Amino acid sequence: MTQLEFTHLYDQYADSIYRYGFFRLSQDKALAEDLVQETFTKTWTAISNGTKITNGKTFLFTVAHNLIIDIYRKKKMSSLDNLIDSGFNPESTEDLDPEKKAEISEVLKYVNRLPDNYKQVLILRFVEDLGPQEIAQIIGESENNVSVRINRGLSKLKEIMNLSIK
Amino acid sequence: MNNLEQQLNSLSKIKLEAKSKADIKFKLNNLINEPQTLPNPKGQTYTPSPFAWSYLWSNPKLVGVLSVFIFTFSITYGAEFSYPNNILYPIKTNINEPLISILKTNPQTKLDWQFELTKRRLEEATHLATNNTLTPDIENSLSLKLATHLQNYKNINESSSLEVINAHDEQAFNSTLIENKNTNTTILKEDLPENASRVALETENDDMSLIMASPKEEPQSQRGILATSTSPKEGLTENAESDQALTPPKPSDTILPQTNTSNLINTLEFYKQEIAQKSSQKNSPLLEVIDEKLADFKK
Repeated sequence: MTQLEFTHLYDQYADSIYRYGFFRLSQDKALAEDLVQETFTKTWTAISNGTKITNGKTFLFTVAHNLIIDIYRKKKMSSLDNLIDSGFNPESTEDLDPEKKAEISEVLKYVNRLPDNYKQVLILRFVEDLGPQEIAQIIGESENNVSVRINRGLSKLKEIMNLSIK
Repeated sequence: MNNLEQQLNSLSKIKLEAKSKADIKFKLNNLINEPQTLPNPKGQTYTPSPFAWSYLWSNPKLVGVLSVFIFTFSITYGAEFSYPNNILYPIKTNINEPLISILKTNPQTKLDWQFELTKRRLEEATHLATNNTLTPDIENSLSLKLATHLQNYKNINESSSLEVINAHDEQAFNSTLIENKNTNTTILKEDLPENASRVALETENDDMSLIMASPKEEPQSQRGILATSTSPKEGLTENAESDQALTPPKPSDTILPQTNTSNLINTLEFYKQEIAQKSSQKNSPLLEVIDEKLADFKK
């Protein structure tokens, strides 16, 4: 992969990696930005060392996933449950209209109530538009497991939303 | 896509801020343009790993062979420092030392090795005597081994000395013949009458025929000596330069110098005193062997 291709990769997937980090790292904006930088730095180092990258998107998400695990290990992240009621401060969505912002905030509120393993696959599947096979590759699970987890996650999310509406 | 999925998809509106994105891109560009991190065009970037050889440990056969090798080496090496009351001592005397003996092919190295073995036995005896662990059984065993080593030393010394002396004798004999021939020719040229000079010139290559053809009576003693001389001293009365070459070698000039034997005698005497001081036994078999061999070597 050349420098130009790598730069294109950054332009294309920097936001995706940021989002993935943002949702998984307790919506910590600074941490998510650090994750983006670290992910691309590690990817470039791998390229420099001769690693062949066939699917750039999957590779980037795999690196980000591993970095998030490292961050979890290093820091004891504050419980996600504590963030549920704190609300969403959509700093990164300033250009959106208030309706959209409210919608995102609402969805995020429900998503945050999901256990991390469900949240992770739902974000990758429906926000980042990755297939079960790619998700399986990123998180190191079987494709079947990922599909089951996506269905259960959706059911769980529905359940949470219905309960909230009632 | 149902409503729930659409709602989830709305989260994709969250994006990295433009400024942050540009900052990160700038940092990445700096990283990319660092010369040491540029990708090798041939893809031959190689960083030696400290664990590069760790894969060898996954080979059970290799691990087995290495383990056996290390174990054997450790045992044999450890045995070298053992004493007769140690469990490894039989390995030292029955495996290590015979194996080393086989490797000694040169008479001098063989002799040195027997000297070394003698010293080892004496040292072991002294060590045990110092620690009061020199039992009669061990002492008997050591005295037998010592006698064997000293006998081997003597045998090797004698056979090697004979070989060397024989070799020197042969060389001296050949030198004598050549010198005799030269001297003989010179004397005959001076003493022969003119009419016989022709014969002398013709017979330069043959001493015996020259003597037979000479008409003049030669001093019998000189001719006789020249004709029959095989002794270097007899044939070299007038040639001082070749004196050295024709002198028969003495045993002390051989490659097995007397200092070896005198060293051995000194060593035996030293350890004799040591053992006599430290050993509690009056009639020690070791001392008997040392005395016997000392007398033998001093002859």
